Amino acid sequence: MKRHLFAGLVVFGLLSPAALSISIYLMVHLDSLGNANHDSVPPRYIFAFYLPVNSSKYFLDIRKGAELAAKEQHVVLTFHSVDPKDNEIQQAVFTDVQGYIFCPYNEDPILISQIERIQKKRQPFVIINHTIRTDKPIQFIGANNYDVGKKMSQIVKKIGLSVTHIGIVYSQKNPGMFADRELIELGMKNELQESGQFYLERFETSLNPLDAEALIYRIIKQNPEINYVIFTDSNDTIAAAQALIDMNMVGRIQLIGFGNEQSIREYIRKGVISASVVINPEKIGYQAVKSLIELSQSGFTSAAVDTGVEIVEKDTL
Amino acid sequence: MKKNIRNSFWMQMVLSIFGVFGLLVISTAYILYSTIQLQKYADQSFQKERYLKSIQEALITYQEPLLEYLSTRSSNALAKHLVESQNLRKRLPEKPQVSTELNEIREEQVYSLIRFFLDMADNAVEQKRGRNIEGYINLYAEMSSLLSYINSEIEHISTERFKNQIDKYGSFIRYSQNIILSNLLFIVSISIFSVLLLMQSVQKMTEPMVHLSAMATEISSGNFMVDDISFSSIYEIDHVIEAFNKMKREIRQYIEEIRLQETIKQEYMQERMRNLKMEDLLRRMETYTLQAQMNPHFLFNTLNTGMQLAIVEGAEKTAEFMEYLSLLFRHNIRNKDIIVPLRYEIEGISYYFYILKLRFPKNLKLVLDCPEEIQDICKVPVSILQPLVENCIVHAFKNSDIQGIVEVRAELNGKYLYLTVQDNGSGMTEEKIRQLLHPVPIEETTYRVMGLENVIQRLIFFYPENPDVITIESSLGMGTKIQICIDMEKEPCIAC
Repeated sequence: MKRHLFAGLVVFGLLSPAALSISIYLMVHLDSLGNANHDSVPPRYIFAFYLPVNSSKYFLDIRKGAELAAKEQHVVLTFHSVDPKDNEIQQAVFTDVQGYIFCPYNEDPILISQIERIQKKRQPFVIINHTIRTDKPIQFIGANNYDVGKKMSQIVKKIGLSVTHIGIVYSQKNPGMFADRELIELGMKNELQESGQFYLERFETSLNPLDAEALIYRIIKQNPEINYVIFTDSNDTIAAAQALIDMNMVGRIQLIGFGNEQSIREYIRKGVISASVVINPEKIGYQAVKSLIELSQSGFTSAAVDTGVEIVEKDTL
Repeated sequence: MKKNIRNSFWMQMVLSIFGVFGLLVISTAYILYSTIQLQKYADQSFQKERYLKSIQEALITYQEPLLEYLSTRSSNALAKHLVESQNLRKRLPEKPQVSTELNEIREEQVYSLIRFFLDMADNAVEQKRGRNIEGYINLYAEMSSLLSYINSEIEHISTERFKNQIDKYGSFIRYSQNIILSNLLFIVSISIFSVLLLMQSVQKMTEPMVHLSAMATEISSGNFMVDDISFSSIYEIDHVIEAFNKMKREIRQYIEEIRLQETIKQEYMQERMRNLKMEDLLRRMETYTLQAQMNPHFLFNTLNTGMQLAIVEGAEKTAEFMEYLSLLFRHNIRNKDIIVPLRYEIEGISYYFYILKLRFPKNLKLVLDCPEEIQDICKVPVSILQPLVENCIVHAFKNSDIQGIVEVRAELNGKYLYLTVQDNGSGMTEEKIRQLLHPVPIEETTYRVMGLENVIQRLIFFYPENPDVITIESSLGMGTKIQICIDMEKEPCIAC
């Protein structure tokens, strides 16, 4: 009896503080619940990033690059819509941030007025993807779309068909390219002018990622003279290539894509797509944050940073 | 154990009860505290949302007097606007340290926008006062747009935070379940521990009582050899135990003393009995001696007369015989000592031998061999040889025609003196030897103890520790050898 009593005292005497310790440990750590991933060091800067509210991979990649740079530089980015209809760009000037990144796709007057107000407040900002014209010089980061047009024409020239009838497809999914359509086409024309006569026809797709399929059917049926189709969005490129395979019309039209996705690279390898023009959107986002930090720190940065244009074709894969 | 309030029975009881009670109270208090903390944490999760919502509502309320003033220039509306503006500014939090959490940053930006909104409102009021119609209209439009943005931001933050809270809520539920389980385990363990502690205290207090009861049973059955009861840590019980142990020890000691006294008394009684026996024996011997002296004195005088008559008549041999007979009587009555030198015994036996030679000149040969050097250093009880020789003469050669030989020898071998009386007579049976060597105690004899028995009884009496003080070797027709063995280093037991 005495031994059992002693054994019970030892067992429960150890069990009680153990249970109490676990309980106290959990209570102490209750406060840190869900806050484990947050850095306790305050960020260097808080920047507002205005870009189209679009699920396009192009803009998502820009955002991804910007977030990577922000993480590296210990900067916090708040993302807002650049579309005036969302009533966010209008309030940009009131927002308590240390810098702005604008990713416009057109020359909206509200956007321009806001940028001018920010310029007046002498707050640092950079513009990416598509530049706009203001009284004062602005810092632009992105690819030169004139060069994009030239690269597209270089691919056409390389394919070298006797008759050059080009259909260029712009997309609402990549409004920046549409906004710079004049510049792109100018680059194309300049490149092709020495190669003889050519025809250029403009098409447009909606935000629907499968819209390009319908377009390619339409071009084949209604515009049989077009032998080159150039895309300015990666989703359109993929949809059109698949449609061409489904129609068994590979080779009938030379597809020149846009983007560097794995599926596009696969289509190039199979010969469905002749080549693809690649702008690195992640690099644009990344460089935008870096340039804005530089601007915030020193007040100066390069007036324009060209992130470059590349061609991906079968030989370079 | 010293009396101390800490080891008193009362204090032990109080400590045990209050200790257990205290443990349970503290445990319950902790459980209550942790439950309150969990509730508090759950409540805090939505505190920020409530605050943001209240600010949003305040902003809507704030717009009313502003619009009224801008529309009517009412001084009441202006006053109300100013009060509301001041209240709203006061309710806005101080600018905290910049957080890395995106929602908190956005929330801070919302407060910044509200401050900007209030500044714009003040500016619009100023424009209204300055009658700058276009100015305050534009400002109001801009304010409406900003307010709409603020509301959408608040909604966005609340939605985002709610999404986060859903994730956090899952973790919170898991945490609280673990905490509740730990608390349950803790309260069950501590309760059992407390009950066991109480049981141990009770056992600690009652155990000595159980031992006391067992010891009382043992003692009541007469067993005083049980071990002492060990002490507890309770003064009152220890006091009882100490008294009980002491009582037991004293009773045991008393009983032992009584036993010792009884033993001593028995020994004393035995000794006294022995002394009485001795005294009786001595008295008998003395009486016997006195009785014997009466006749020898008479005989001695008569023999002297006879001897003188024989000399006068010229009977020389008779005169010589009567002279030795006279010397023997004188020798026997002269010494009253119990222990005498060996020389004295040898002297007496030589007188006796002379007489015997005259009585039995032809058919009896007497041999006396005793070294001169031991006669003075050895002491023996008186009259131990003559009765033995007399026994030989009387019994050994009765109805025998052979020449009798009686040899008396003395020899000192080491510390032992050997006195041997040997004859070649008829011998005796084993039964007779046994009877002689194991005589009936003197006090039990009703007859007069004679010769050999007297010698044996005296030797056994004087040398009780030596069972071989006298030995008899004999067989029918082969003679008898009686040997006395006396340890010279031990005093005969005369007064013991």
